[in-house]
Amino acid sequence: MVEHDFIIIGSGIGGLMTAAALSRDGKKVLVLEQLAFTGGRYTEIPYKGYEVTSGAWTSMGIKSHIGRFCEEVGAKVDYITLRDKGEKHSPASLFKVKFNNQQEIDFFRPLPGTGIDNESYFQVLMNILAKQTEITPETSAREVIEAVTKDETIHSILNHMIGTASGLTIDTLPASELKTVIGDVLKTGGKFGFAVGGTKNIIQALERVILAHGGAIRTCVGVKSLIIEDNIAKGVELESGNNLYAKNIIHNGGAHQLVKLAKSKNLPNAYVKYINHLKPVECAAIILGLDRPVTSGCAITIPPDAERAAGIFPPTFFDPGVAPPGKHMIDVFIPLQSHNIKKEMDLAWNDLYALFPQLDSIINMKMEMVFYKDWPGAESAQTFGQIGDQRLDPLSPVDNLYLVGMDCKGSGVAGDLVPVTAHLCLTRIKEKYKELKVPSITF
Amino acid sequence: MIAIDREKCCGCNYCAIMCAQEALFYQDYDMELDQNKCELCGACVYYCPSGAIQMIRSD
Repeated sequence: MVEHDFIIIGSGIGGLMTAAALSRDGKKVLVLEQLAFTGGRYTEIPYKGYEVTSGAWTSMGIKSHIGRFCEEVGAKVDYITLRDKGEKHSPASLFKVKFNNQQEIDFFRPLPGTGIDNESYFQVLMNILAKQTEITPETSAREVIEAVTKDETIHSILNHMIGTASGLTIDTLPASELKTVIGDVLKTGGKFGFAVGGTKNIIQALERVILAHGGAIRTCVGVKSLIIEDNIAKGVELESGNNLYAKNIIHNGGAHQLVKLAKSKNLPNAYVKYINHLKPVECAAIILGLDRPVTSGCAITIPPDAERAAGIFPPTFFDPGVAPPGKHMIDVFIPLQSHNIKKEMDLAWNDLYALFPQLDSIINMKMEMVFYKDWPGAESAQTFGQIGDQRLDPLSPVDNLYLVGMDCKGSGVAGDLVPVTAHLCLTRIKEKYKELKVPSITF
Repeated sequence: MIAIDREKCCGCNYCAIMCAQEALFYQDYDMELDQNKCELCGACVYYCPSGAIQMIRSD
């Protein structure tokens, strides 16, 4: 019996955004999540009094793609912004650069010794955005950056910024994606923000929209396979052995899981081959609880001397409530360059001790997280052959089966790509259900 | 008992973060389980995104 208009497999932010928009428009949705918690890599798990991220740092606030999508579907989220932190933090403190010699330079100050008179890091980014060189999908970020400046310190700063935003490097991130990343980050300006309580409050806001409109969300429910007959998706077979039927299925469980659930024989060979050859983002994080703050008055610290630590984010700078009273937290993002995890993490720890020599005496909570194998940072890195329209269309080769999430068409800063894919997914669904509104935002 | 498939384990540490008994820990970048601390609640199975943890009958 068909009980649902849509079954959504996976409660990552893409699944929940799509489900919220469909619920709001009167569709009966059921979200299935195999884990005990919703939100995937976009939430926090409580640990020793801290709200430890499952992956994402922040949505970047109300002006991000995620912020605007949530507002459009009525998911109310409170943010603490750079502007809320006081005028001196807005927006010059979006980034600070910190060298191992302890020198710190903020966003709007000239970079000393770089040979570029009176040009700040901010101005260099603006010059990259304005650079009118011919860009093809094969042009690397390095090519555009080198056309603006030959300075190696700035190359290193940008390499770390790119690592922070995408898990890639100036050689593996295409130039077109670099321009999107810079543009999207700068657009947030002084409104760059952090959801009060953490990213899980964005997840909870979306869930409230789904539940308020009669939708349902079930955790600890694994899907074993998709029921596909004559190239039409009819429902799902659960790990428990039960079957659930729906008019449409939306998959938010990642490209490789899609092949596993749909089975290769039900998908075109070229489609399966594309998915099997996807280059993932393999990364790690070090989350630290501290007795006192180590970064000063900024959203993201970029350490150009570091070998592995790409960027450092202090959630407690925005919201002290995500740590025990009087304590502080930093999230350190580490793009992996090999599968020798011990070596990679040792290099990252060396970076941290060089940047913060007093670190050992103030750590009260330590959590290392590695994201690779079946749970990478993202299955589809935003690298050559995998950007923009080269990614998967939300309209799958199987009728009534749609996709949403980091593998789908679009560009954006890390998770902020996801609402672009949710918007396109809803646009594809609207071709069948004309009454759907689809968020009116553009990206 | 709880069985960990280290080939599947990616090291995200979600299981260690949520384990109320602190029975799971990432030692030398391999997930370890202290069977003496483990109360077999099975919650870790539902916090593992890579399907590396299973509850199996030991009889």
